[in-house]
Amino acid sequence: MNRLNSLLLALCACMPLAVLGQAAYVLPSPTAAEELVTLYIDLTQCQDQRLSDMLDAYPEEDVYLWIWNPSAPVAGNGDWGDSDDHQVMTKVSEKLYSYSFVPTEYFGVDGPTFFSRGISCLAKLDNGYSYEEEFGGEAKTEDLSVGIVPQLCNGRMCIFPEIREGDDFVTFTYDNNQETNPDLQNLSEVYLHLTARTDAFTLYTYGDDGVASTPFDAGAVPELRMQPVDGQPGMFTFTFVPEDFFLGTPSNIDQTPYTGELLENGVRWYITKPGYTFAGPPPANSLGILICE
Amino acid sequence: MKLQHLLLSALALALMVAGCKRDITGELGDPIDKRAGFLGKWELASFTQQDLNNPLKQTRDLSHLYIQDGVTPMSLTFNDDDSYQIVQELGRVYFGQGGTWSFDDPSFPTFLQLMGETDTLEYNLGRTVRPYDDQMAIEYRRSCGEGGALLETVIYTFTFNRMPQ
Repeated sequence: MNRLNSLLLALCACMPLAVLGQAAYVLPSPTAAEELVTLYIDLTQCQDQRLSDMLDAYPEEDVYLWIWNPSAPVAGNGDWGDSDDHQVMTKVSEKLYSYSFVPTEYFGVDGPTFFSRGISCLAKLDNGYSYEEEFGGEAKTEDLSVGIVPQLCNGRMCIFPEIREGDDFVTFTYDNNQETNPDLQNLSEVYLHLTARTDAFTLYTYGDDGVASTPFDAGAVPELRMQPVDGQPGMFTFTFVPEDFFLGTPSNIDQTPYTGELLENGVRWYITKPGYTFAGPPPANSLGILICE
Repeated sequence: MKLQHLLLSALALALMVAGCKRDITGELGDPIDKRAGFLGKWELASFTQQDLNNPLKQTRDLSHLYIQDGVTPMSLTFNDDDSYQIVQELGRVYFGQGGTWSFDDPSFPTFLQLMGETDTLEYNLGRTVRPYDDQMAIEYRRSCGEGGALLETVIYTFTFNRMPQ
């Protein structure tokens, strides 16, 4: 019975350690897919202490990140016997290493893929075969998995849903408080300039007559006005079904009206206000449309 | 030692109670008539869009696109003679112009089928509707591709309130 009591006590004592002792984690969490995140690997928390022991014996060695999920890095990991230089980790403190990246750029995957797959990685020495005989195994930690708590969109413009067809409802939510163009800051009236593209050359700009020589001001078209969000100053929203919305809009080629063709090249959009003209070309933001035959 | 005795006593008591539990007996009764539950007039109460590729599978309330002050909300009427009528002043048309209706399986319905003059529409039933239920939901689940390449995109949910006849 004394043995049973000891076992119960030991189990209770270990539970907080199991929660706190993470060998790999990312900060900040919740994590945005398109902003800088830092991956930390704490060698003291790894089950396999071989790499930690090697660093005790050879403290001059650098530690490299080897990563394969959600995908290998766009720039690659290098070879097991010679990691690429760009994969070297920063030594934060004794046995704690970090590596910072923008997930969508570093992995070349979209946000949903990053969030659903999480991160699988390990830490290693430049040459993964180093000191193999001396320490009885390769110079690496065990495989480490990091689940990602996703951060919902809180950028200047959020588009819902993430993936949409041309006949889906699409909602733009715009935060004018985050506007970087000084001419468009502190707006009380916000308009969306919207252009549907059935191919690379055929454009349908809502409200425009399709004749290039005629000036067009999207800020004078009531249907393009974004609606203020109640209780959230500076926030505006706009919901539309692209294939319905552009019906009848003249094309830039021969002014023939749009009749619901697939929007193979998506929808171009930018924020504007009444009477405003950009000093250079307007921003070329694109709303991708899923083509589903 | 006292703690151990207490634990053992509690375990023994739990086993005794479980052992004394009566067997469930009796008739199950007739199955609910799902078709009868669906008959009548239903008025749109809400319209939502769920993004299946959003990290949190977020849902947005788009009811304002269908329900506005001064406009009679969309209504659907399902009749016993298999006909259905729709009255709609506002919003995108998803339920045709009226025609006939049916379930894919009257005993265990999964889909609502709406047959018009030119189209047959098929939507998921959000829940089983019993004759005494006051709400029902129709789901339009969108996806792209097939098999391993199937990509689920969004779910539109129309929630209706039963209207008194």
